[in-house]
Amino acid sequence: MNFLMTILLIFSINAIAENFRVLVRSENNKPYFEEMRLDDLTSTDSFEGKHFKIVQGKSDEAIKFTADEELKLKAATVYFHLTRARDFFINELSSDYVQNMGQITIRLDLTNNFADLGHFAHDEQDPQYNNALTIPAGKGYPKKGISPWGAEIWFRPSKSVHISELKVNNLSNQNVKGVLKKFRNQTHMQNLQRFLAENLLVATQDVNINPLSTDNLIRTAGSSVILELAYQNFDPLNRALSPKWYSLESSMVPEIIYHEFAHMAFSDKLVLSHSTPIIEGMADYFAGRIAHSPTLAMDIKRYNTFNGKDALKKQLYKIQFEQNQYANTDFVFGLLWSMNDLLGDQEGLNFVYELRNYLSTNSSIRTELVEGMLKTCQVKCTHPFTDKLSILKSLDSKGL
Amino acid sequence: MRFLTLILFSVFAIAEAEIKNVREGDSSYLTDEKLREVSRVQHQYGLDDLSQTLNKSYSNSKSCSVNLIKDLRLKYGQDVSAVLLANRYNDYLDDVSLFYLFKIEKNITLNNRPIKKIKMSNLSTQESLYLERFLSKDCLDKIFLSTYQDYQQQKNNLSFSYKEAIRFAYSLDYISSDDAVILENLRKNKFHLERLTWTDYLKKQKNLRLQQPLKNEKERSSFMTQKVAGSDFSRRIYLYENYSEVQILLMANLVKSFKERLDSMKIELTVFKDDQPNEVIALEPMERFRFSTKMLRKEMNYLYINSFFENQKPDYEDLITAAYEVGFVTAAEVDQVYSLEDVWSPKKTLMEKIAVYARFFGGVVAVAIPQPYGFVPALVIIAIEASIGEKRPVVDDTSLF
Repeated sequence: MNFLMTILLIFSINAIAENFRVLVRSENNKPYFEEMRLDDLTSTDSFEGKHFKIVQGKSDEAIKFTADEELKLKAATVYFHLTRARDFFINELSSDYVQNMGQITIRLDLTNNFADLGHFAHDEQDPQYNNALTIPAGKGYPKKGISPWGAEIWFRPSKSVHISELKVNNLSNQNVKGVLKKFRNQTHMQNLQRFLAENLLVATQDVNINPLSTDNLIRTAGSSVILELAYQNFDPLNRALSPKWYSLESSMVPEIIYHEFAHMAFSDKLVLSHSTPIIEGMADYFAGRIAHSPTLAMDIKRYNTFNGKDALKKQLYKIQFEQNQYANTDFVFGLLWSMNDLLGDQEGLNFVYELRNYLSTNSSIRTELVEGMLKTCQVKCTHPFTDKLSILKSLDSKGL
Repeated sequence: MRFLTLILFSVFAIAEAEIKNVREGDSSYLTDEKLREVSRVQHQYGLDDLSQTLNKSYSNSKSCSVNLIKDLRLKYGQDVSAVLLANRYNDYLDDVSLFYLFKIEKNITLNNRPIKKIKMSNLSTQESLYLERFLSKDCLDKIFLSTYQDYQQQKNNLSFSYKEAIRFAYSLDYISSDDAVILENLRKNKFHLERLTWTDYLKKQKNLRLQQPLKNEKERSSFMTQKVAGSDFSRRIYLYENYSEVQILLMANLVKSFKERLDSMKIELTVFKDDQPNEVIALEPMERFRFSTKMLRKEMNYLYINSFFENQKPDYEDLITAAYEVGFVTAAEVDQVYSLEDVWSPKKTLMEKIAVYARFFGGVVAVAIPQPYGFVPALVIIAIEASIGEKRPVVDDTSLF
């Protein structure tokens, strides 16, 4: 009898695998839909598995297979890519922490803000769209009927937002404008010097030049006028040429799913309390690695409300990058990605994973991150001294 | 006990007599064509024979290149050059030794026509004393250099040319007929322009090893056998040709301190007030890195005014070569440490090179373009300068170094 019960029990918790239509990427990073197998499902009628439970909004019930096609597609896509991300951390990085994680609740279409005490902030309090979030576990507030919760990943619904509503930090524009400003100043100064020199020449020497002639004025002031017009009209022109409406279905972007799971995977060392440039850069790095795509951020560039990301871009360090409001800029991402080239593909991956041991949530780029990289190299690099030199040289070239 | 001492002495004697390549990487002498010759002589004589003969000849030669080559010439005839290369291929010789041995090898020929002795009369005391210099027990290349130098100093008081002096020395039986031919060949081939001989090189190397024994003799780096820009010398030959043992050690010590600073996980600046530490400023990691490179540059400048380096201005490449030679930098590190020069002396980018030409030709183009559009080239030049100039203004504001 006991034997029969055991067999029944094993069958009842045995993982189920079913095929669903999910969004995947081709080798050249183009999205397309394909029937894929979802592993480790424990439910026969909903998206609940051994490791992930996909729910809608604030519900605790897993989304049923009978849900509408759009929701089902999102749930299946999220489940599929989360499983892939989990496998990556276990197989490629031997993460015991990820291996032993319990079931994680994934919420789709949730607009509520996160509240430390109440789990969900009030529905009316600043509803959120077009992004995703990983939240830490909470003890709940039993007196108010709020049960404890585990770490969760929340995907916001998409919503079209006009550019005027976005808080864009415009760093890339500032770069171009900075060069233009310098160019303009130099041109003005040169033309002024030329004009003064010609006047002086006319006053002191017997030369046949009229500084106020039309030809001479065009020659002297022409470049200044062109540049001044370009400089003064840079912002309106830039706005006119930019897209006007933005929206992002975060649960349908594999790289965002990987990014959020990466937060979860190294939450053993980097506490999920707030978004910082280092934490976001680390998550971007692993998202890129799981997706096998250095162009990860370039593909979500059109949705990105901040500076356009590009892992290959050699962006110089600016002290503003230390501020949390610049968490989504690509500096740390590009910096970590360059470790693959410096140390080798697999060594770079192991290096960045080990790096989390020397960081905290509040680490800054120019001190703890660099210090952490040197310490990581001391224990992980094949040739610590020379590899540290390569890293320092590379960081120096990035303006750090 | 006496037996043990004897054994130990024998072991040291053998060790002393051995000659081998220590830490030099791929040879610049071993081209594909030369490798075919190496293959031929290895096949013809056998590897053991080549190496054993070399070491035996080396023991007999007392570090004298002329004696060594003479010995090898007797056994291998015209194949001496290929035999030396084969020994380099098998790491019994290094490129520096080859460099000096080849210079001698071409002066030692077989079956020379015997020189006729001549009768001399009325030699002055000074002339007799000068010719006695040929009786020296030194290596023949050394005898050549010292007698040639002496001749240049005394030639106004000597009634014969240096060529005649060689013949006189032979006629007086101060030197053998073969040695007279070799000395004459050295004269013809302007050997007096050489700074060092193989004997000098081995002596310098031995002194360096005594001062700073090598920790790892097995590693290899081709950094040392690569040519110095604008020179026919390899980096290692250039080092031995241009610097003394003391200079090499001084340069190597600079790199040793540099390495230690680079590897340090903590560098602090202490501000004193009334002889008491008032404030300690810890440098950030990148500040430590740049501090180390700036310190090296400063110390290099101090080296230039060091009395040991009168009229010499060693560059970063010389420092790294010296540091590798005495073992302060390992083979795995040498290229990376060398590449650090880019940090304070970056190579020009393509855009910067273009800018130089654009600036140069811009003026010419401006004259050729009819007015009032002459400003266009100037605009282009300013645009290039604006986009490539002052790349790191922000860093200087936020970093101590």
